[in-house]
Amino acid sequence: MQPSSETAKENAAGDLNDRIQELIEANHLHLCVECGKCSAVCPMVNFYGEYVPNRCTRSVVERLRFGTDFVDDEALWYCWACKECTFFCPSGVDFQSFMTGFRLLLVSHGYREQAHFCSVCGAYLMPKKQLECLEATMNDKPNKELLYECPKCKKDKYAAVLHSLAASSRPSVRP
Amino acid sequence: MSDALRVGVFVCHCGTNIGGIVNVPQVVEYASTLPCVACAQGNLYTCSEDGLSTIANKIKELRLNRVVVASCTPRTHETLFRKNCERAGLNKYLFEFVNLREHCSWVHMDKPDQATLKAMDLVRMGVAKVSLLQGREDLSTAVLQIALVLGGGISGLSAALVLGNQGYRVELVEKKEELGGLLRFVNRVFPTHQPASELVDPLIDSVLRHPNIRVHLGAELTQMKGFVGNFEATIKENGESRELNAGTIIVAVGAQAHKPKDVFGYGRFENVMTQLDFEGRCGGYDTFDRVVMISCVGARNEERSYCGRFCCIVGLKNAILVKEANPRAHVTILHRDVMAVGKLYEEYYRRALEMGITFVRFDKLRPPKVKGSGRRAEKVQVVDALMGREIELAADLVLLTTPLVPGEDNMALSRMMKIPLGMDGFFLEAHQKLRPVEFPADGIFVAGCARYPAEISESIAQALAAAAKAAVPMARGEVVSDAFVAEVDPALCSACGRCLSVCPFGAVDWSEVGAPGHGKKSVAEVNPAECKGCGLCASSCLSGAIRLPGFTDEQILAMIGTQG
Repeated sequence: MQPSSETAKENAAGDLNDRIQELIEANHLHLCVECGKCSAVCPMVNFYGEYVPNRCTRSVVERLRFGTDFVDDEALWYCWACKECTFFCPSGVDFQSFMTGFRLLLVSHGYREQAHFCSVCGAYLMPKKQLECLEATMNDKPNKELLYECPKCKKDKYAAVLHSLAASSRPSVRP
Repeated sequence: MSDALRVGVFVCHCGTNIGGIVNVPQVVEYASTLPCVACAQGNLYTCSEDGLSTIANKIKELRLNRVVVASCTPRTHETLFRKNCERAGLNKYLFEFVNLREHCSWVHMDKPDQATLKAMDLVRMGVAKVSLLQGREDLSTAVLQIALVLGGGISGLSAALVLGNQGYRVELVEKKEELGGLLRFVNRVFPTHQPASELVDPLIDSVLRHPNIRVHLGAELTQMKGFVGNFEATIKENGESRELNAGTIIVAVGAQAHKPKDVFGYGRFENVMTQLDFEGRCGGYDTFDRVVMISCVGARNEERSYCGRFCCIVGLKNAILVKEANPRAHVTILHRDVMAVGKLYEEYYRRALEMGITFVRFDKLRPPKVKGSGRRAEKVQVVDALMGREIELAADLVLLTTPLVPGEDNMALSRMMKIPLGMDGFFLEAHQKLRPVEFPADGIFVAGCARYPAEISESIAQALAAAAKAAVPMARGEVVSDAFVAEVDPALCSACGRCLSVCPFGAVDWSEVGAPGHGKKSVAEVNPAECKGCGLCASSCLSGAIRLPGFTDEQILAMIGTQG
């Protein structure tokens, strides 16, 4: 017998919740002492005017701890995983690893609206917010397309070119 | 030689402290021209062995009968120079200190010429005053070798036991019918989780068996008279009045746990209780699945501005005990800040974090709400300050973490014993940093939660400190006090009572004197053993009846009169 779509949805939500709790555990998010250093050093405040305190790094954790009804919140995609917060945390919370894992988890559970994928292979690349910022700040218009492909595809695409460039710049060996 | 005044003036360079700014040779030269000055000289360091022996030699050689030292500060060095005079055979009260460093060179660093002129003025004033000083003898009072300890909690017990062991008789007065204080209601202590009774029972046992300690249970202090060396206390024990004599007193009356009123459903719901109520149940840690604790209940608010210091750790302790007894329990601590300061307490906090105890921060302006039906609290609503959203926590037990508050009797005790209370209602020590277990009045000491919320180790440390301080006068058998104490002329006293109200040491009291033609009259009398010579009474006396030797009107006017 096929399970009803409602039950499947509930199971999926339950599974997502469990996986988030595992991630929280693995990256020691429960060791937070609420000192606020992570939010103080977060460079995202400069980028997003609406990145107010209650949407800060710590708040993300706090919200996830009390349920998954926030997973479609846009603010969860603000972080660029720059590791400032993790570097400054006095308690050993690895927020960067958590965020990276959490994004993959969200994508695999179908929350794809806020994510930007590689235009070639379709792998998750970065949050859409990040892409928008990069597009706006990148002055070199012709090279913008570099933003749409993942590092692996870029390497494959340009490998031949790079190789020939590298070869031509090599000093020729005289007999 | 005759009894004519022969003043020796010694001006100190204090290294470069004075000598670098004030022209000392010029001051010395000036001093030698002042009336009655038999010798004037400068020293690099007057407080050095060399400087001190120079003064002593000059006293003997020139038969100096007054000495002026112009140097650093009387606070540390006056006693030294006075002793030096005494050793050389000069009454130590025939000495005057001129503060050249703090009153002159340090404050006028940028104006050396004017500083030198001021130094001359100060020295001239010193010489004018020293001429009017009279030789005096120190006052000595015998000290009874009995200590009165008020309060039979962990502080009082520790103090009583150590004094008893040192061979002093101890009168231990406890208001309740049992010894042990607040710890009797505590289940286990942080961070070792040792039962509190293991700590306090052996102490009680040793105190009760001790041959030097007499324990008065169910006894209250009703009256206190006397001063260091000879206090006379009246206690009411089992309805009977008793007199106790003591040389020193240790106030270890402790504090009480705050019981909130009409907040968070306390009193309305049976499963809302304070941490101490919960511990008094002795066990039952495994019978709860969802525990919510609320910190800072009645602390750090408008009414009570202080932090209870260890209530957070008490909360952590009970949270850990619940979680250990029932690992499936959800324990949430709603807090405004977690204060876990102290040896191993930060680790204790981390242990709680690692065990999965949830910490939620709330804002003072948006406190949690406890909801329930009938007599049971069922859930707690709180605005999580970090996510800015209200969450709801199911609860089958709500614990309120409350601070210790001053004992009810503090005000009465403070009046009775003339010892001060702070703004928060706890007893106020003589100096927060330098004299933490003493009162301004001699012979009375404070320890433990009577002073401020103190955990066990701090209470014991303070009790031992107070006991050590109390043992000093008892070991000496006498207290010697400075002879510069206020004196009342009964003929001039108008009995207005101003001096009684301004004296910070409670040294002034009424006494009856015979008045010709009027029978008897009440006048103020200064007890020399209690007087510290601060001069408040003398300067507030409207009738000019109080004089303070060493600072009499004649001396002060002579100083002013020499102004050039």
